Amino acid sequence: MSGDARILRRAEELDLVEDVLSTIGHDIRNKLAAVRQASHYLKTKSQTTPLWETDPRMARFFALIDDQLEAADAMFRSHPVLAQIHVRRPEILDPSRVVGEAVRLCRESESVDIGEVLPGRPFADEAEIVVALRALVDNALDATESGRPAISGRPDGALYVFTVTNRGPRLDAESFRRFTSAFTTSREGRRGMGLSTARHVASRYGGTLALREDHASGQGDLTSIDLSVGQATAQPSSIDASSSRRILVVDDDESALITLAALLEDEGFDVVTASSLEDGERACAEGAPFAAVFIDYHIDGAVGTALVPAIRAHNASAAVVLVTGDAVGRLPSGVDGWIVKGGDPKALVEAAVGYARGPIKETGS
Amino acid sequence: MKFTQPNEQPSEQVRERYSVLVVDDDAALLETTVAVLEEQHKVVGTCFPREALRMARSGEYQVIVTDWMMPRMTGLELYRAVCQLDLGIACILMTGRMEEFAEENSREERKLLGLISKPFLPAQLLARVNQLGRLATMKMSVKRLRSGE
Repeated sequence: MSGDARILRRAEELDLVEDVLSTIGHDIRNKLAAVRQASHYLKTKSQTTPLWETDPRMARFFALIDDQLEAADAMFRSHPVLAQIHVRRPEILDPSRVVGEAVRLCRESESVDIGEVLPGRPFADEAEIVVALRALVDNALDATESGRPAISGRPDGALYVFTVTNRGPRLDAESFRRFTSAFTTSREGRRGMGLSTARHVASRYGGTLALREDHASGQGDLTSIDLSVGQATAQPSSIDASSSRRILVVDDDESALITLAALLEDEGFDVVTASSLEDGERACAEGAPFAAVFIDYHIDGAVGTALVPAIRAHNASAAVVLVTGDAVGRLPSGVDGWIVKGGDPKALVEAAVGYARGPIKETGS
Repeated sequence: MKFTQPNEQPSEQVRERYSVLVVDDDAALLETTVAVLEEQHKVVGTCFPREALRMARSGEYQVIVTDWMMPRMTGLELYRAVCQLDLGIACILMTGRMEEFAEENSREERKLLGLISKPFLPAQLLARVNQLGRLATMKMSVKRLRSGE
């Protein structure tokens, strides 16, 4: 739960580290690109000289430069160590609760108004959303010149939109773009990551961070920033008969298999179970497509992601969700998300139902 | 910069020789990008987007290869300004942050631009310049025919 300061801090750390790595990675990639291009030029030129023929190390060393550059580049694409900081657990969130938490944790909670927060089904990692909203509120507090900053929320189609407003210096689109880049902030003379992190969090859950252009009707210097995330689209009871209600659960731990299957059946899904990767593969090839496939992360002494190609071969649009007892780094390719074993069953089912309805896929995250 | 030699095959010249303007605020990247493209094209480089825009007005370039994130004027702003010149110049925007770029810019704009995602291989950049160079040359010919030149 977001009240756990440790989880919040770790979510914040993960976002911060990812942002810093992405920024450094970008700069280093530019340097690598210059080396790669210089090497290409030298190779092309030296291929026409006698040295190329007489010294075999010429060709070998140019190949070595290319290999090393590629290896260096790959280091910035995956960071297994990040999994040890915080495991993202997307779930259906209570908008009022995350707004309340964000305000409670901001720098001056007594100076912020909580406006209307309409019910909705934002689907995201709670700690990350609280951290992102807190950054927006802190930013609004900094920029406020008159009145009080306010935060509100409302569902808007496939998205849930949180809005933070304040009155202060006018923020134009270009400054907003700059402030949402890593290492820049609206605070004079400081460098920060808050808005950049908020933007990445929104994007991760199928939404955006946007400056609202509604300065009309004499509102003066009112700044409104919208942070949107994708919504879980419907309760299971409202799933119409034409959409798939079939779910596959693959787990070699029988008690875990039965528990998750029973919980999902209670929610109105047709659940097919498989106790090995092999059985799972067979189940994928039989019958109607699955809305979602839940796979134990450690199964049969292998990794559950081994099943992904078989799932995709028969169920292109199925949500693939890893069920895990411990940290899994970044989402492996072909996987839409994960849920954690052994937690609150209600939260697990809500997350499972969210995935079964495919909110992440639908919102394009 | 490399210029056509009399003994070069004319067919090669027609296929792969365009006037290319490279814009990057990173001097090392600028110099090496110019070196790679000079293998096949006539290339000029500048660290300054505004200077690039002035140079583009001369109408002698078919392709502009530009970095996205540059101080004072971004590659996208340069692209928009070049479009306004209406000379048929093709633009290739190099970005290491395709996701961020996609997030911030419309699909229509992304379709019009020649985007190349960093890191890329020198051969990929050459291929993209050739492809857009051909397109720009065709557009410029049509434009000339229409204006009765």
